[in-house]
Amino acid sequence: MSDGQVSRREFVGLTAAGLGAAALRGPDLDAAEVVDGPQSRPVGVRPRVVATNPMASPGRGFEDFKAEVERAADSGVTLMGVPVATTEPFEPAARNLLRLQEFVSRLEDRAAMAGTVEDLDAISHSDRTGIFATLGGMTMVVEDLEVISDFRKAGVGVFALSANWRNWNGDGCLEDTDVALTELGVMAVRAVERAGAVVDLSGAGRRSSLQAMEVAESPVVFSSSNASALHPHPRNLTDDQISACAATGGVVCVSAFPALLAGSEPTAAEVARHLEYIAERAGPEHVALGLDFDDRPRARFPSDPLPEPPYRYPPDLSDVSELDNLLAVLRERGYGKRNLEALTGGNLIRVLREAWPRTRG
Amino acid sequence: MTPFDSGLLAEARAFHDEITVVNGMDGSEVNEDLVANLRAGGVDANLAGGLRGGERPLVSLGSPHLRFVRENEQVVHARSVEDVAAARKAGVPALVFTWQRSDYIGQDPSRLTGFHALGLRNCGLVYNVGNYVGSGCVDPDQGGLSKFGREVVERIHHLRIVLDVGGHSAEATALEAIEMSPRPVVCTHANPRALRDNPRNISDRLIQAIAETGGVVGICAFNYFLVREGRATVQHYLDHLEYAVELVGPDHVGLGIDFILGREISGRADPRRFPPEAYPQRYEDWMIYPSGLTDFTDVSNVTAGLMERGYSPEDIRKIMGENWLRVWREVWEE
Repeated sequence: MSDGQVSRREFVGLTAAGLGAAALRGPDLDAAEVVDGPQSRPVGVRPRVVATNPMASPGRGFEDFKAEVERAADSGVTLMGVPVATTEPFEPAARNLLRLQEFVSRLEDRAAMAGTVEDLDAISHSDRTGIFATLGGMTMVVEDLEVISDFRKAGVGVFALSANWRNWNGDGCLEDTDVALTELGVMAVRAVERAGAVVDLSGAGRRSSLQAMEVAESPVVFSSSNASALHPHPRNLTDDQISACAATGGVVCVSAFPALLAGSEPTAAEVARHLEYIAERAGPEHVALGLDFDDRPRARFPSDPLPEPPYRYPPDLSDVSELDNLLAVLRERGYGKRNLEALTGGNLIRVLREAWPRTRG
Repeated sequence: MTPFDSGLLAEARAFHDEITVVNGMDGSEVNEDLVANLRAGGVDANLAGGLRGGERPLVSLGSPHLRFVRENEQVVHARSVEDVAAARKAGVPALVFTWQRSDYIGQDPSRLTGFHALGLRNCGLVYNVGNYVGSGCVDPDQGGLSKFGREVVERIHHLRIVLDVGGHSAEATALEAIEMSPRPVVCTHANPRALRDNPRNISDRLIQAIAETGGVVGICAFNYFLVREGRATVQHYLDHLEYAVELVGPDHVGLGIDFILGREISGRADPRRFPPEAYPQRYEDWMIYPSGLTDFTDVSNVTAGLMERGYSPEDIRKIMGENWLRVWREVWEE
């Protein structure tokens, strides 16, 4: 794969050529019980989905990606969201997507790209970790909404309207302003839905997000946001945002990112608290795992309320291999199997299945 | 057909040729026709801010506009007030380059440094619709600058580029940018909303805020910013000039005509960027300028009109060009 310029035409051609989940081979098992413990690799299990894992971003290189896939497998994570761009413009974003697809194809016995309902079906019957590409911030789109459909055809299943700061769509949550969507922002929400992808509102300003949820006709996600009522932070969600998300049929994916959790040394129990709060307010069908493990700088401006890396993730939930610790806390708090399955993966899969096309064609 | 009697016109043309005439905003194609037209109209300096759709931005490496001014001896590429004076002495028009929007720098304000080196001397922030920097005049919800926008404004001032706000950018964004500006700020091309209620036009408050910085509001001659129906005349243009002068005095008003000579635009306007309350929906209608002010050869009609309305020669000099030169000197020079 060249490191040279990628034109839009090449880009769509390359990805449409069928990189990604083709026919998967794997034992066709009936759904089995969730097996605890990192030793065993649960197969045919109810899905465990992590909405966003920046540690698996292709920009970090193949070895890091491979390590994350291994960690995911250790934890029974069946599907993992990987951001391929946050504020990058078109070309680097396109190259990163191609890189991700190449990494996955190099690990074809262990991972598979997921962008369609068919892919999700295949993954649920295999022991591969599904990888779905997400795009942040829409910097690569600027005013040409056709780029959304280009990236969709190339396999991106989730598009974030904002990357924390103001853009052509509207405001970001880390700005001092709080403007609602521009007309382009309204069109962008519709364009993402029409393209058969999911709108991610993490990072959007409050008013922009509320308006987006009004405009949305499909379920939306917040890929990494917690409840402001438990820990006020501009990236966390107010109660009306949580309700509005539920009203779209969508999910709030809770975050382990330390700035979004209370206390100087939060544990997995803190993340569980947010899960519970959202489940109680919005219903157990509207919460999922974001998690959002990262070690790269996130602040852009001195006034951004974000820490510098290295980030102090909960010591018992510091990467995707430690999901069982979180689930143990939830079980202790009385979560039954059905609700656990919904929040560990069922809810997010539901949203993806509703938005994504059946097949690649 | 001329709007003024021949005696006044003759006197006006003589005076017009004597004074330094500066047009604070133009959207015309940068080519030989423009240069000839400026010269024929006695316009000494022109701020060029137009773009052909899809072209590289003005003032970029390899831009045809820079090549044109470099290769053509009938025009001077002005980067300083000295350049403008030299052009006048040589009897040729001076072109100064501007952007009407700041998003050519992507996410990196330091890129402005390179563009300044190439000749960028005036910079707008937002073109009608909100971007990374701030809100546009047609946005359904309008706010101030973003954090990135503040960095961009800081960099514009650091480089001593003239900051251009209001008109295309939303008032809230304009006012916030003005507040953080240590030097005169301008609005290169807009019209008083008090005379013509169009979201692209600006409030008295904004006109005053710009004047308070020591800046200048350039009055635009776009027909739909002057009148709601029918074809405007140069008298409407003069009414707008006069309104602004009465509001903020003769030191803070200038020409910001924004012709689009030589541009071949046709078809339906994009309603998102150019909604019907602000713009005609057929591009062809954009080419219809007020009668008596259809190209640069008509600019002396403005001089004539100001004379007819009783403005002093000193005030006419200011409005027709000296105000722009004052701002350029104050901002560009240490």
